[in-house]
Amino acid sequence: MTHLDQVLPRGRVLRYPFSERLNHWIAAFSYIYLLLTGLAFWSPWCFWIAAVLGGGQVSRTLHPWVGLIFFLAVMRMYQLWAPQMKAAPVDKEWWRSLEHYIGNEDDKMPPAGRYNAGQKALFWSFFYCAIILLLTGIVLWFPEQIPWNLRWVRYIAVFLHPVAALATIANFLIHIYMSVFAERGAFGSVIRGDVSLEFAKRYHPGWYEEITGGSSKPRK
Amino acid sequence: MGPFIMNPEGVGRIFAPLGAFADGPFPTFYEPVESPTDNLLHPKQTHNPVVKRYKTPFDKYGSVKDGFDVVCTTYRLTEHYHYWTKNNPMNVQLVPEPFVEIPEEMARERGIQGGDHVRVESARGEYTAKAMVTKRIKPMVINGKKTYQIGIPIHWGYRGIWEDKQREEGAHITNVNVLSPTVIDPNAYTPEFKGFLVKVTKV
Amino acid sequence: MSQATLRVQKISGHAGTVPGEDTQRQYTVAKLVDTTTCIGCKACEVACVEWNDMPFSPTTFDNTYQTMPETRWNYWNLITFDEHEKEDGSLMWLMRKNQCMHCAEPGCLAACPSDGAIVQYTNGIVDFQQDKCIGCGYCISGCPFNIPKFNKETKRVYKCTLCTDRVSEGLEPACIKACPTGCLHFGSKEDMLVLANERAKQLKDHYSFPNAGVYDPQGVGGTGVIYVLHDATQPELYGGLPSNPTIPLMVKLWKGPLKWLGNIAMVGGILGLFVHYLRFGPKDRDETPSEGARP
Repeated sequence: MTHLDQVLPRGRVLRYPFSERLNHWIAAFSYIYLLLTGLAFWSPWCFWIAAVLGGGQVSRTLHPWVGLIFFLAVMRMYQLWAPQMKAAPVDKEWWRSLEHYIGNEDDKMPPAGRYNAGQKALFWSFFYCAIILLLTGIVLWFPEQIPWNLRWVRYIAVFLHPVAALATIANFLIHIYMSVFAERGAFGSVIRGDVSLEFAKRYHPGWYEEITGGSSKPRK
Repeated sequence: MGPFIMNPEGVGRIFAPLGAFADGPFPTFYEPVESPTDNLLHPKQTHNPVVKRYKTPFDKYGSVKDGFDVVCTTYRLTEHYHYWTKNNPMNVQLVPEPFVEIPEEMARERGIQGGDHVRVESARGEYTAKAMVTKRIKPMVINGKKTYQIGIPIHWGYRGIWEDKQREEGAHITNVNVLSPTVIDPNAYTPEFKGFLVKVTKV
Repeated sequence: MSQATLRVQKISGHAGTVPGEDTQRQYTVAKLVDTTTCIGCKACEVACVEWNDMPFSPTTFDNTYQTMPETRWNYWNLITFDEHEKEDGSLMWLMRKNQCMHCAEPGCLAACPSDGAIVQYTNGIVDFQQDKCIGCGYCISGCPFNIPKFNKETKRVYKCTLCTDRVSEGLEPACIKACPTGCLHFGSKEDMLVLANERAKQLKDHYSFPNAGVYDPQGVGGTGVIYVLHDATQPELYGGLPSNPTIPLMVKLWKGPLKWLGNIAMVGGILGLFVHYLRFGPKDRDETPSEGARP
């Protein structure tokens, strides 16, 4: 599925159309619910969270259903953006220059396309973790259905589910930090859909070139 | 002159009134009326000569020659009592369905697996139930020939929790007591329900 | 009320200390099951069902005298039947009373995320508090004996309570009371161990069971139900009794190292990002923000 990155009046450019923004927030809100109830199940120190969200039983009942919603939303993202998230030669350079990125020296970074290597890594991490979370989640949804002679399936699920969840939490922290605090202007892209051309030029020069017709580099 | 001068008949017997024992002065061994072998002690009188037999048209007897080559016995379970616990949900939960206990070897020979229906027939009737294949019954060797024994718990009949469900589904119900012979010990009047001959076929 | 809380020494999913831990002089109770004198009469099964008023559930013929393949949410006590042919050709019909083992280090309690859903009393009894159970089934994965069973209508798990309602009133559990052969005993763990070892010695010395012994698995810290077995070197013969039960490795890893790593990583991550922002600020800190940038 493609969409046109339209250059808009007053130096803005559309990055995400409505359906993609909506899908992002379905994923985001379902994730937050999963995170909160998940933390409640993870640690006695956080079990009170379940109490605030309707009680332990309600949380246990809803967590897997919301998990399904999250999974579908992430799969939709795969459908929409996977082609743009494929690894490109410039990505290896990006990782080598990670120090500069952390130090906010974006001028020293190789020109990223629509998505930089870090964003691509985050995308794939969420994608694979969502699959692991779904598969282990289904086992944990109906653990009493797994017979005794297949109990190793439960053991693997009970361990992999929190491991994958922790990985998504790491992703989540980085994602929030980058999009809300570090790259100012990014948040608007997923609310109103547009960013400034300056934003595009600074953080995604390759993409900027494409949309202003500067180069004939194909969208990755 | 012998020592038993105080007995009217002049010879020894068990210390009991004369004529108290219907079949003789001392106990001896007799084979059941249906037996796979002759009496090794006195083959010319295999069965108890004064055993009481009922004389209805159902009182027929079979032998190994007639094809009844398996010894059958009937017994009770701990989980049931006679014919009233088949109406009690707790007992029925413990042992829900009638079964026939079959030695592992015999089951292997005849291709019977646990849970398969088997039909047990004697000269008097037939009984069909699921087979329980067990190591606990070993084959016997009688007069050099391998002979099997099967066991059937008694506790099911015409009405009951399981029986009523079977009736609803139109299944045919029998009672194991149609298999055993109504042959009565002349002294104690106990019946010979625990040793008789049957044939077993997989249904 | 204070009595009730002081009688609890371990609580599942609980942050902080437990008021009854090491505060009571009470001894651990134990059930001794002598499999060598069990006749498989199932009086104990019936006693459990009757004492706990459990509803009946359908059973089917399964080529065995065993009432059902496993315990159920409404059937906590089950005699397992196993026909075992020894090397010398002789046959043993092994019967074992199967129910919750009331482990000293319960895997169910370790795995349970819900505060107070599983408790261990100071006398060692492990009890499910179904009102706090969230129905997640983690306890099913934590138990090495395949005991907790889920009821899909109430969405809770159930198991043998060691008749804690009777024990707390000074009575023996219902199963113990019903046993006609006296193969079930109840008392302090210490006393039961003495009895059990005496019986095992008797079996070895007088009954040609050289491998007779007591089953009290230390992998779970010892259990509140101990067995005298004809052959303590082969517990698996007795309805799959595990020979060295422990809390499953994955559960231990999850509740141990993974917990630590995860918590450090999460808290460290948040703090780290905060420190990063203090040090470096947003990416366009040293310039005017991108035009039209609005959060």
